Amino acid sequence: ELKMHSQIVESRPEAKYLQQFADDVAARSNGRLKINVFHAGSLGLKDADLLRIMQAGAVDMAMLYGEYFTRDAPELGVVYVQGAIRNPQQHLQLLPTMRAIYEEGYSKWRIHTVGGVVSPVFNVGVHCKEPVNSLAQLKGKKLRVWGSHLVGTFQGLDVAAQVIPQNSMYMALQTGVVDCAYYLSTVAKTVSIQEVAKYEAYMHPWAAVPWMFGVSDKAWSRLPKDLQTVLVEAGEAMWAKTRDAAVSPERENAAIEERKALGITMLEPFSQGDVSSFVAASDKAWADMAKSAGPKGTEYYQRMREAIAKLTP
Amino acid sequence: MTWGILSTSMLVLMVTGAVLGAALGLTGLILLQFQVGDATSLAVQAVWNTFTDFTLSAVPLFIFLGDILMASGISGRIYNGLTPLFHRFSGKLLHTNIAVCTVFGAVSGSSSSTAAAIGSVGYPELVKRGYDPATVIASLAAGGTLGLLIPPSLSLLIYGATQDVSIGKLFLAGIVPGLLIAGLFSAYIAGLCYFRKDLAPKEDERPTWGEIFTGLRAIWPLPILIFFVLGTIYMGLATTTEAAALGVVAATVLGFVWGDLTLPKLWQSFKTSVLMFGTIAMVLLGTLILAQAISVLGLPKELVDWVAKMGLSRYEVLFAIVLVYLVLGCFFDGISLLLMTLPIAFPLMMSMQFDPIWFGIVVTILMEVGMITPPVGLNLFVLVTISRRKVSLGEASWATVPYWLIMLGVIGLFTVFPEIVTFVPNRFF
Amino acid sequence: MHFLIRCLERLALGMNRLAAVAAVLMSLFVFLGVVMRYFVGAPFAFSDEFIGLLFATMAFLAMPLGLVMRRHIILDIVTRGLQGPLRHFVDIGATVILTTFCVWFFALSYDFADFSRLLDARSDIGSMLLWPWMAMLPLCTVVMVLVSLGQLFDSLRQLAGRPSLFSLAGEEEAL
Ligand code: NA
Ligand code: NA
Repeated sequence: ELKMHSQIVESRPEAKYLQQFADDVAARSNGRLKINVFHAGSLGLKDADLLRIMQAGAVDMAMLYGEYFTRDAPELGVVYVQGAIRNPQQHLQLLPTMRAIYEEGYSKWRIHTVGGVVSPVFNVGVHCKEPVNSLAQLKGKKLRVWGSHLVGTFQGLDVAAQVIPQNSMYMALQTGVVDCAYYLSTVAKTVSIQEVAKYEAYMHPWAAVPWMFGVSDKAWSRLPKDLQTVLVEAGEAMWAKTRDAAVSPERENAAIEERKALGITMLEPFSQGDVSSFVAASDKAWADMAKSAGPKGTEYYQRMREAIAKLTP
Repeated sequence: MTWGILSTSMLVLMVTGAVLGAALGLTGLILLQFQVGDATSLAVQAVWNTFTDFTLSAVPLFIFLGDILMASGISGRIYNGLTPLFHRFSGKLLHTNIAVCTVFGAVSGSSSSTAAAIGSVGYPELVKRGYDPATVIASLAAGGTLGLLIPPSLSLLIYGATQDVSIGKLFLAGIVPGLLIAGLFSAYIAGLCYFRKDLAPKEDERPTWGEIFTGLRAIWPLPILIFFVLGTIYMGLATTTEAAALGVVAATVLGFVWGDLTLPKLWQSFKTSVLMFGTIAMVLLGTLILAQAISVLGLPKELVDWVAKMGLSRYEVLFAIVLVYLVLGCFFDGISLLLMTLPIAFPLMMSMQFDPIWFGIVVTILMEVGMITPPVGLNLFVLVTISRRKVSLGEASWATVPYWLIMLGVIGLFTVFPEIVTFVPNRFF
Repeated sequence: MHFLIRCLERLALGMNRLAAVAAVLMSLFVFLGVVMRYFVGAPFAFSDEFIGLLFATMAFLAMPLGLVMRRHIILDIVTRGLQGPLRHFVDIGATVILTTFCVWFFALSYDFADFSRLLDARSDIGSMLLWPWMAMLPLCTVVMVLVSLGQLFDSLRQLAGRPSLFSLAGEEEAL
């Protein structure tokens, strides 16, 4: 039996994929290998410590998300940023480069990776208490964002952005600590955002880092060859399955209808000009962030830039 | 095996009367080393994460606030002003503890902040006036937990967000149970003091309405403090921690202007509060390590799993779940327990046709119970420390038992009449 | 030995004063954060992180004096009634537990801080170097180890019928 940590709450689709992977491993191994998944951080571990924890082998497996490790491995946090892509299909083209970088990065921490979950490419929108669908309107509003790169990006656009954790977002909007939240529109319902922000405008597709299934080298070397193969096969199968499901206009449209039914007013998306400004500001903040993450950070950034340069628009 | 190590080492460590933080921490380290296997590094990580968490910093700030109010004589004047008003009630000023905790709980998301804020002001004043220390502590410990149920509540926020339940509905549902429990606490205090006259100071003659009025007029700085601490949170101008800091600054200014605060007294306040907080930090240190060991072993999940597999009927499941939370409440308090158990407890309860809003409230009450269940109960630790250990942990826990029973009774009541919980949210949505 | 214990007591008092300074800084900084946000319109970007670090520093600096003054929370239901030599035996047991824990935690927190130094670990938002803050943990626990060893020695002396060397236990005025 392997113990596996995951920070994702069960209401998110990524958690359901993870559970399917665990069930698949049990089925493929005829019950010889059982992965006991602890969802929603229920092992009491924090993602920021995960690299150290996995290196020490204190937990066997974990769902790894590169952006959570900036303290210990800043280079892993600069691989991909919001604004790197403008349409969902581009995400799929960047995936192989991203995966190669992460596999290399994790292996330095004595973590073996066996596939993973490609996060669905959700819509990212701005959710406000009042109608806002342009950068001009966003100036003068207090905006909630989720990471320091976004703070830098919005700073470049003269918008006052602050990082507020997802759990505090509802209260922050309700009490007016912020006027708007930059958040994943598709799953906004799970945090009851419709109760505190009635207007939404689409901005760009979510540039989501893939969740990788990490196995500590300690646990990996304990497994017999055939069970290692089972893990690799199940991980690859999940990777392929989630990659194919990642881009889905139907899912996004259904989610939009659902939010409309909950009383949210859908505004026109941010204009192409606004998105271009956002992308330009994001690029600049990205380059700065990569530089401060050391030589490895710069290297990863350049590899991603090269892949982006080859994208078909 | 794990449970064996856990209970044996806890027992051995407790009977020696060792520093509680060290005893709990050592138990945790032993479990991490031998049961999880070479995982003691998790201990420091858990400690570092919690000790650098911005939200926890509200607790020492509220202790500073209380100590400054004490040193400047402001809290003394405020309680003097309130005394005539409460003269007519059995239990007198003890009711202020519950009332203020209820109001404070309505704006603060955290239970230990509430206990620290009200305790550091209320405890010294009440004891000075001849109230029984253990009774005061117990009313504060129990009152402090109300902050978890009365919205905004961290526990309900996390329940809502992780289980995809409407946070607005949960908040609405928390109001009536919160007020009900507050009312029952007050009723208990009135009853207790009616039968035990020695717990509150002796009756002197009845104050006239004029005296009551004069008393109330003398507490004019109170609204100022209330604005800085409560108003700013309520209006969304500040977080709990920020409100605490605003309160510290407001109290300092008021202390110099209206009270008899001096710079040496202010410095002294900081030194004593820091000493006080150091002892809370020590026990927190041990608690965190033990909680980390238990959670990484997956014990909470294992326990709930075990209930799920027993094939019980609806009310048997509820009973077993309550029992599990009571047991785990000995070792955890608050949010960590919620995150560890909900992944299994929630679907289990839903499969038994319990209402998700209803269970959110019940599980929050169980969290509150856990906060005052020894040996690990942050509210109790904070208050025992504020009493400068004049009240021991054992005495404080014993005096808190009736409140503990009231909360369990309320869960029983909600099981028989679930509408008490669900009526308000269903009405408004 | 008497001199060493006196030094330890002074050290713990000094750490308490440093902790009080951290506390004043913390209150001021949180307050200024609010002022900056509402009256200047420019919130501190990393104030939460910085306050968290000050908070940890204050908490750990404050622990040794609590130990010296015997102010820490204990469960004394069993031991409260004990008198005479038995009392000192139990005290020795309690101090051994304390010492063991402090030594263990010292070693762990030393590794933690040292590893972060090797990685050059920095805070998320403000990019502050973390290891000097983390080093407060082993630094303060090593003082606690010394205090608890002193108390162990003291308990042994008391078992032999000599008076306690610690002068600050229960002395509120000492602050
Ligand atoms: Na509350
Ligand atoms: Na507890």
